[in-house]
Amino acid sequence: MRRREMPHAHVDMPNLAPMVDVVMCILIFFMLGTSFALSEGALPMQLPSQVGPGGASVVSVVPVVRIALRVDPQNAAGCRILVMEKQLPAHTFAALRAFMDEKRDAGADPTGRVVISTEPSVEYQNVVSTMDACVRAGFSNIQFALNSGPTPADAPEEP
Amino acid sequence: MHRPPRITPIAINLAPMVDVMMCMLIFFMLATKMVERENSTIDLPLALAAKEIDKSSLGNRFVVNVRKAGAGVEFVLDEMATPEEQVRLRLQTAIVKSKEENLGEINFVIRGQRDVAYRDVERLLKMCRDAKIRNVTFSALQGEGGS
Repeated sequence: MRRREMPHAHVDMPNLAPMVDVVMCILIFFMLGTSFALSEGALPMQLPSQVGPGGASVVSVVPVVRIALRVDPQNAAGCRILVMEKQLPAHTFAALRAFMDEKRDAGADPTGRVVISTEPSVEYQNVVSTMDACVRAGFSNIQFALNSGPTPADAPEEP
Repeated sequence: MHRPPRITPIAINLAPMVDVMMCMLIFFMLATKMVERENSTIDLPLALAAKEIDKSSLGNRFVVNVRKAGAGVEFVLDEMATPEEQVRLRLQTAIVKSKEENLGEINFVIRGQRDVAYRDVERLLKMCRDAKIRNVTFSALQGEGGS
């Protein structure tokens, strides 16, 4: 006798293919569009105001520390570091940091002005390292002595 | 009577793949920061004291990138190489806009490549001096630089 079969129970599955297509497109877009950003920091500073309140003339303030960077290719740092017109025993930013620490411990006002004057050919990294040494020693009021006259883009390299 | 075996269509189970793709999609969506066009890829100088700051805390910022181009350098504004005079003009426009819309004092952000000469950064500092901008911020990566 022929047995009558029960109808098959169909499991209704949604068609995932279009969804996979779309998700794949979005995924590829984000994978290509993503660039993992390095955490970027900042060293803030303030330029001195040109005039005092009410348009008064500029008052010159004696800096707590004057730092000068001079080009010296023979040095590992690529520059000589002069503090208060005197050369540091070692031309390294660690030595500068140690000097600034000593200065602070000797009672120098950490809110006082630190002026950095730099020769135009000094590498920018060295200028930032100088600022870094000062900030880490607790001196936050850092200013730059700008070289007088225009700074042409094609100024000759200093020897 | 012998019946031929029934042909059942083979269906690939897509569910695990969809799970994985969804996870990746959510990860990339969360990790992606839509490109900020003011910043170009630059080898920034390293500084241990560089504080990681929220860009919005810099307020009304004017970002200039300084990067090497051939033998010289170029200033880059919004991913576009811009001559110095144009930078100056754009800065003046930003100052006027800032005053009109009461956006507060401009914070001039310098993103300089670490191996450019200071003279090129100094050009920007002089621009700030001439425009009477006092707040200047140097972008740096956290790390030990210089020797």
